[in-house]
Amino acid sequence: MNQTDDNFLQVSDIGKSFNKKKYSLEVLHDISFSVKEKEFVCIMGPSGCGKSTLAEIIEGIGCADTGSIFLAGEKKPERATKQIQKKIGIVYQQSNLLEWKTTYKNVELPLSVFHMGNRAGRDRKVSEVLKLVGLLEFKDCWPHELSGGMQQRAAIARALVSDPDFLILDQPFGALDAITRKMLNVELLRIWHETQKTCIMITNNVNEALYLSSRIIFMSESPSSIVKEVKVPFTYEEKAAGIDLNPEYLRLRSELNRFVRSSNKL
Amino acid sequence: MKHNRKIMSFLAPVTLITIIIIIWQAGCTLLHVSEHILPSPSAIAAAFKNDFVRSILPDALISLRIMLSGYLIAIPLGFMIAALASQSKFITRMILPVLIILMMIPMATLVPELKLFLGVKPSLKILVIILQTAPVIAVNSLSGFTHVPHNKTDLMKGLGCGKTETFFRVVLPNALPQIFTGLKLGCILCMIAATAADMSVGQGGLGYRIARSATFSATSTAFAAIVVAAVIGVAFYMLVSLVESIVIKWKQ
Repeated sequence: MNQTDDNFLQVSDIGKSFNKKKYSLEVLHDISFSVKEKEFVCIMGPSGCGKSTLAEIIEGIGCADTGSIFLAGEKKPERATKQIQKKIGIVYQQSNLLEWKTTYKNVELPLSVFHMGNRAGRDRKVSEVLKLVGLLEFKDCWPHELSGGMQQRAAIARALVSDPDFLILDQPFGALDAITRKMLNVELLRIWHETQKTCIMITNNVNEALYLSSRIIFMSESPSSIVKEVKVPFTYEEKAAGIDLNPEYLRLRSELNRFVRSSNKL
Repeated sequence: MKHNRKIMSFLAPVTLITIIIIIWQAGCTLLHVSEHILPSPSAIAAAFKNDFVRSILPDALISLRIMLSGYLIAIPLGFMIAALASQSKFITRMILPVLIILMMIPMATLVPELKLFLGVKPSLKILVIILQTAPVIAVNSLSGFTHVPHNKTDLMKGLGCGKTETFFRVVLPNALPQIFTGLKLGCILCMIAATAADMSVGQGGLGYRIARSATFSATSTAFAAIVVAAVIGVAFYMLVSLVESIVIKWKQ
């Protein structure tokens, strides 16, 4: 594996097994891929293939048995430190907001943890990201007063507030209804375009992956490895204008749906 | 609508209490029950008027002082036990059964034994209260500290936080509702332990007043003291609930 400058994130030979009482279950087998700066990459795979395990390893929450993660050419140490985690914005499967903090305080959390900025600076930054996700009027609400979609938008704001180098989203919209999900996809695409962040997103939805990403990586069933990589040829402007009827999009979508069906043996 | 509900929640229990008092009074009068066996509410009120300043109030103040001292020592003590025990699964497993056993023992029954070591002092009662309340506070706080949802600790890991920072930012606030459950149970047990300790230690206090009045067949005075003890207990509980509603703003 050679490091090149434009490989912003490099995942190299990641392997992971879970040790059960009588046997060891290999989940990830030599996973390697790289992501360029400002790219949006989606990772798909059958359920139970270890997508979330991989996400946790990249996030620094879980650790791999073998292999390593390189961030901007630097190897990530095994123990996650604030200095490194500051570069990563994480959006979790459930919004994961702290119920004893208001939306504003939840979004401010990373700034407080990383000791970033003074009071006025923090206030400006939090307001800025809340505005970006359209939640500024709801900043004094408790998390349970927000709808599921709003909670997830607050979680995106929290991931963005410390101005990380890249975002990793682990099936962020999985628990939402189809319409809210579609709307949040539109917003996430806009946010990605406006903030120019490098994004990795785990998803189980082909439409979502095609709409958001510039590249889709497919994982096999566990012990999983990468079985397919697809470049998504549409520009941001094309997507923003709507690609639902684009013949190329339709062809790609049915091809990928066919592939997903054949790899899910359930 | 909201205002109506508030009035309702006040009126409903008051109505029941009024009905009970009326039945009690009527029963005592109509059946000619001796005042020494079961005093009527009016007799209790009369005894209250006669004895409040003379004997009940000083004893109530003694009880109150002892309860508060015991409770205020038991809170940080129970809390520290829980915080330390939660640091390791092994210590949690080791200490939890002991705490539960301590919680179940009526501590006032240990007074004769404790007297042998400490002699008869007001601090003996305070010790009984601490022994009774600290375990409840510790058990509840400990269960709050050890049941933290995984996704919340993951959030802190994702921000690169260590154990101590995770404790103060996530574990502690997450446990607050359970901590207050412990504090409320503690203040109930505190009243019970204090009265029971008064009875076996003596040296004043509401429990002492109740036992002494009963010995001299001043049953109505005993009942007046019991009412005062109940009122202090309820007020104490409401105070802790008030603090709870101020601290836990997000659950309303």
